[in-house]
Amino acid sequence: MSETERKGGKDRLRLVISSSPHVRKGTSVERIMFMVVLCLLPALGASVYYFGPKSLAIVVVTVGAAILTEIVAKRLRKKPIEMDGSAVVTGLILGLMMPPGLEWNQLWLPAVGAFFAIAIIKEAFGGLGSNIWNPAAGGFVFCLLSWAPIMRDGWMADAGVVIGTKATPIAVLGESGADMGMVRELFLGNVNGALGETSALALLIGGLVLIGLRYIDWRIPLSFIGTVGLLTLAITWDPTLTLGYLFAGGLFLGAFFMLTDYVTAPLTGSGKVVYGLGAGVVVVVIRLFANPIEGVAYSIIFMNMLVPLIDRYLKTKPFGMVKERRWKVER
Amino acid sequence: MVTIGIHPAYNKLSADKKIEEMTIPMEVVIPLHQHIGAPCKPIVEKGQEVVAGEKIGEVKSFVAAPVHASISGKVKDIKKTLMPVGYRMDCVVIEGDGKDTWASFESRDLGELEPAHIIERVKEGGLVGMGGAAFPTHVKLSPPPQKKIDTFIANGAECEPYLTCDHRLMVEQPELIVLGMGAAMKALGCSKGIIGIENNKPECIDAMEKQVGSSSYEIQVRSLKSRYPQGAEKTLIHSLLGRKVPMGGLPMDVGVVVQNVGTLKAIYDAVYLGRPLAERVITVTGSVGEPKNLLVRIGTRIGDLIDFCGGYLGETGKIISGGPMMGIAQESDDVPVIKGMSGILIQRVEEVEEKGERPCIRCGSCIDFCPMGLLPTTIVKYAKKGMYEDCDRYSIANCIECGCCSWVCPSNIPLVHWLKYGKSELVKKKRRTENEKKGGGK
Repeated sequence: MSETERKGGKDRLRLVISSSPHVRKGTSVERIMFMVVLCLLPALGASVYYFGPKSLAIVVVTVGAAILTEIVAKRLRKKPIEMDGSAVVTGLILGLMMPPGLEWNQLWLPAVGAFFAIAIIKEAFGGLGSNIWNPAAGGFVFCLLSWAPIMRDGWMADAGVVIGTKATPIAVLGESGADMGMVRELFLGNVNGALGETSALALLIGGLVLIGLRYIDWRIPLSFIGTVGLLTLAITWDPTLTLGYLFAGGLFLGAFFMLTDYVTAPLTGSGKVVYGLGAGVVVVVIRLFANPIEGVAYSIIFMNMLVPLIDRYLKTKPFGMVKERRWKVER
Repeated sequence: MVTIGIHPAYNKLSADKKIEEMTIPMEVVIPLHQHIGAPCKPIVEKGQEVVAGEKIGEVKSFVAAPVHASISGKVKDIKKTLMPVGYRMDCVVIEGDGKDTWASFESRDLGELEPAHIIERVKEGGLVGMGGAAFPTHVKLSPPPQKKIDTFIANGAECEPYLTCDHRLMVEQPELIVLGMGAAMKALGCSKGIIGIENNKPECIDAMEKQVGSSSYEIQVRSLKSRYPQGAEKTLIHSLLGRKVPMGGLPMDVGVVVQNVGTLKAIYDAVYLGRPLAERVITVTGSVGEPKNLLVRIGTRIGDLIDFCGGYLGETGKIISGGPMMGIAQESDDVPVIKGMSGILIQRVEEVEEKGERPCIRCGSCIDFCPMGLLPTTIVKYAKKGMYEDCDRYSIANCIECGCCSWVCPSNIPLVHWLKYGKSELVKKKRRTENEKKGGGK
């Protein structure tokens, strides 16, 4: 090519200048959220199987309300409306925490819960990435505290095996212990309880896929479930009951899908271990010594508040850091 | 924290292309500052005749490297020109006479040379690290006497995607690399040498293994796991020897000197032949007609290299000096080849589309993949707010700008950009405080 042609070519060049690196892995927030939704589908399937199509309606209400709230909140805050999928995840998890026995005319309750989760817990604090609490856990606790009777009655689902007359399997476990048949039902999910919390198996499948594909850190579920298991065993000294406690309630949902929420979990590996451990202790204390209606959501909310502190003290060790001497010789 | 390493698409398009000598350009633009350290002063005048290999710029400072003419001809001008590193600086423009006459050089055998002579010949040759950092080679070869060097490492990792210049050099001229390595080891007085090569280049491992026996030094070829940034000095030393260079320290603090294989070939040229660094191998790759490994004269315009490789393919979006992970995006193809340039990568418009930056979702990927054990997202939050002391508290200076954090970030946050910015602002701030202290003392 001649010099003039090359010059002409140069004029055509419209070059982008940006900092290195010039290639990227190609992950995105959307993809992560999409994978989480995908891995929640087994739990949703199980709840439709055990509780019928109404559970699907409840989830549609929470997801719809979450998306709608996000759009309105973003508009009010004059922020660009980018659907990153986080509202869908929040809505879906919140839906799965709802009682299946809600009447059709009570579907406003999950909608209000989703509104609270997105508008107050997430957007009011600055939107995705800035929220202190897990939005779904926050929305759930809001519903539980505000409309306790409706929530409690709702857990007395007419579908599935109703264990005892108490509200939740957790309460039954606390009252009358467990046998292996009950543990089996708890694992499969054929019990009364919240929509997606009942089937530990379905949640485990989704959770393990997320861990296998490295979307979530294995340390949080392991330290959380491990702490709950060991501590319960140490206090009750009853392996069957311990298994019952592991598979009952929202423990697996919390372990794999809520405590692992990036935004509200610590940044470093060691921080994540401490976080799971702390949440485990809180769950056991609530379940065994306090009102055992729902320990997991409270433990998440509680540990969320400790995250800044954990991040502050449990940092990574920079490569090649030489231990600083604690004293200095003064001359 | 031991690095896991990332696995970007390697795209070594030109791995099988023999090194090809590029036609000698009619004009070269030779920057007087191609190294880390003090810039050179020109020692030629406008209109003066020069021959290839003649010294045209030098400086008294120890941390500096002289520059040499790369073609024969007449000095056309000495002016400020845009450099591939992004700013303008003094360059000597030489108009070629088409004869390519070279200065005469004194050949020597290693046996006749004392360590001091080797270092002198390396310095006179204007050698700098050819892997990209361009640190003057003779400085690395003359550590202070209290630092005992026991191991010399030849860096043949070439972990940057796309680049293949070291690969070809190891396949085509392994004997020269081994000779250069011997010279460097003699200068340092160390007896153990290791050549580290990523295991995705078995061809290079074979070629080097066949040659190391011929050396009078104990040299080992070691295969390394292919992962980025394997070839970063600190990572490489850790992988090969398990030694960690202390924060803010240099490889010599753990008894090691590392040189890129390209530099070793240049050491051979300078020590044995007396030839200065006037040409080098560069990989021209990406969206060009035919990706190639070229032997080019320093100062050749990169636009000419691209033309020589068949021109741009498709609509060009980015011209990068170096590889895709650490290279520098160019604002024009009218910049000269410099000693530290290992590749030119052309990306098409489709490849450079930047997705918008999203808020950090604290996923921690940048932390998991930081080979230096830093908290990139936390440091960047401080850097964005101008809180540079806090960046310092989180050891921002330990960042090697490898790009792993930006590569993995799902929110497309330009972490490396902010880390570089924070580092330079911190240095400026520290300098200011020091100056104020000095001023206050008077």
